[in-house]
Amino acid sequence: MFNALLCLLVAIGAIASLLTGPAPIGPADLVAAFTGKADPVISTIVLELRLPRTALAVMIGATLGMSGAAMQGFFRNPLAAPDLLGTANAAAAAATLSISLGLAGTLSPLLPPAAILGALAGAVLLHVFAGRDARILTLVLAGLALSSFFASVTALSLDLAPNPYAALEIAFWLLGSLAERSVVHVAIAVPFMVAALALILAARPALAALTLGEDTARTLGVSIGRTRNLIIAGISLGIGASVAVAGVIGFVGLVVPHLVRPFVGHAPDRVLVPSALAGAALLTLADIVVRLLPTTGEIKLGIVTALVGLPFFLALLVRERRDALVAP
Amino acid sequence: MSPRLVIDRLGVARGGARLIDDISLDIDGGAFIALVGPNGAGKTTLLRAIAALCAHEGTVRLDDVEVATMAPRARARAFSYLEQGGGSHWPVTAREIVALGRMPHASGSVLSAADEAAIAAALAAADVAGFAGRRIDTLSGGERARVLLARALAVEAPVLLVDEPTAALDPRHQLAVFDILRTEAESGRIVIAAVHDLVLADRYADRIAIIDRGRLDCFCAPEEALTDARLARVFGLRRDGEGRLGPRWSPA
Repeated sequence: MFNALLCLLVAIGAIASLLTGPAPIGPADLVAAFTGKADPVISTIVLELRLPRTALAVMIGATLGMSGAAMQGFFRNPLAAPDLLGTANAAAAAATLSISLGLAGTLSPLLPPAAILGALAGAVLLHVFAGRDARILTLVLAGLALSSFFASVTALSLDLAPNPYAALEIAFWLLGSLAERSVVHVAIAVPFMVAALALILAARPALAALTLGEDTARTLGVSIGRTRNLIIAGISLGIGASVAVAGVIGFVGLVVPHLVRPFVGHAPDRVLVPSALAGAALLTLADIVVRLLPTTGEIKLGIVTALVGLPFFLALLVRERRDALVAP
Repeated sequence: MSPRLVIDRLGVARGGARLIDDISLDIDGGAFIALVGPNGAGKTTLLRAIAALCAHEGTVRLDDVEVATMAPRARARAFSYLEQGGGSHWPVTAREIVALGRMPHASGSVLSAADEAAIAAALAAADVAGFAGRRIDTLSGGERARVLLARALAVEAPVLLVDEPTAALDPRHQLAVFDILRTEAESGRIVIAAVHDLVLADRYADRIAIIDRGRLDCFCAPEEALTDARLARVFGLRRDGEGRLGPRWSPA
C-alpha cells in the first residue's frame, strides 16, 4: 500500500520533471512526443534532453536510497550511508583520476567501471577498518577517514588535470548534477544500477536476520560472507555508476531510509524497496527544484540535497545520542 | 522420532589457548542439560561449537549426521541457538523478531500456515502474545528476554541451545524461563542451557555437565554433580550453613 503510494509519487514526479524546463512544453506535447507525432524540436527536447535527465533522477535516486538502506541494515547502524562513509568519495576519486589522466572522458563507457572500482575499494576498506560488528563510533570514524582520504585523492587529480578549464569542469561535475545528461549517460550507467538493486534485494532475508546479530543470523542459516559480498558489490555498482554520471549527490542515501521507517517499521528488509521508491521520488523532486529556482546558473543538485540533508543528519545525531537503541 | 546428539571429543583452540578440550556428551531427546562452570570455563564456546558457529576438533552428530557437513539451512532447522545477552539492533516489533525464527523454514518472505502456527505457539509458550505488536525497545528486560526466547522456540528445532537465558531477570522471570525450557525438553527436544545459578540447574536439569577450564568435569544427575567436594574444587566454594532460602556458600 505504502509502496503503491510511493510508485504514484515517482510517476507524478517523473511527469512533472518532463514538463519542467526553459522550453514551454505541456502535457499534450509530451503525449505527442512519445507517440512520435510531435514537432521535431519538441520531440528532441522531450526524448533526448528531459527523458534521460528524468530517467537518471529516478534511477540514481532509487540506487542511492536502497544503497543507504542496505548499508544501514548491514552495519546495523542508522548513521551509515555510502556518501557519508567514503564510498561515494572513493568512486569520485577514481572517476576524476581517470578523467585527468586521460583514461576516460565524461561520456566514456569506461567511466562507470572506473568509478565502480573506486567505490569497491572504498567499501572494502570501510569493511576492513570498521569490522563487521562496528560500533557507531568506529564506523563513522573509519568512514570519515576514508572520506577525507578520497577527497584528497580527488583534489590531487584536479591538479593533474590537463588544463585549468578541464579542472573546473571536473570540479563542477563533482558537485552532483543532472543537467545536460544524455541518452549516452543512461546507457552507460543504468544497467549497473539495475544490477545493483538486484544484488541488494538478494540479500534481503539476510539483512532481516542480522537484526539479531551475526551469531544468531548464522544459526538461522545466513551466510555472512555471501551477504557481505552481495551488499558490497551492490553498493559499489550502484554508487560507482551514479557518481560516474551525476557526481556525488549526498544525504539521499542517509535520509531516505529514515523517512520511510515510520511507515514500514524498522525491519531492515522491509525498508529496502520503499527506500528505493522514496529516493527516486525525492531526487526527481529535487531535480525539478533546481530547474525552477531563478538563479543565474542552475544550482547543483548535490548542493540542494546537502543543504536539506545536513540539518536532518545533525538532528539524527542528537536523537541517536539521546535514546540508545536496543543493541546487545 | 526422538533426536540423539552425540558430541565426540570436541575441542576448540584459539591463539594457542585451548578454550575447550576433549568434551564428549551423548544426549537423547527429552533431556534438559545444564552446562555449569565458572566464568571463562568454556560454556559459551561449547554451545557455539555445537551450533557450528566456530571451528572445532572432534565431531557433533545429530541422528548420525555430522553437523559440520549439514547444509546451513538444514542445520538452522536442526539447532536453535539463543545467544547470551542477545538483543535487537533495530526497534522492530516482538512479533517481527519471533517471525525471524521461521527463516530456516521459509521460502521467500511469505509465511506459510505452518509458520504462522509456529509463531503463535512460540508467542504463547513464552507468554509474550499479549505484547506481540509492541516494539522491542518499549518492553522491559524480562519481556525482552522472553521475546528472544520465543524467537528461538519458533524455529521448532530438535535441539535448543541456550546461553545464560536468565542473566538479567528477576527470580520470578527466571523460573518462568526455566519452566518454558523444561516444557520444551519434556516435549521430546534436547535442551542444553548454560546456567550460572546452581540452584536452578539443580532444580530443573535432568543432567548437569560441569565444565572446568575447558574440560568436562562430570556429566551426571544433579545430586551427583553438585557435591560439596566438586563445588569446592571447581568453583572454590564452601558450604558454611543454611540460610532462609537454602544453602549458604562462601569462597573456600
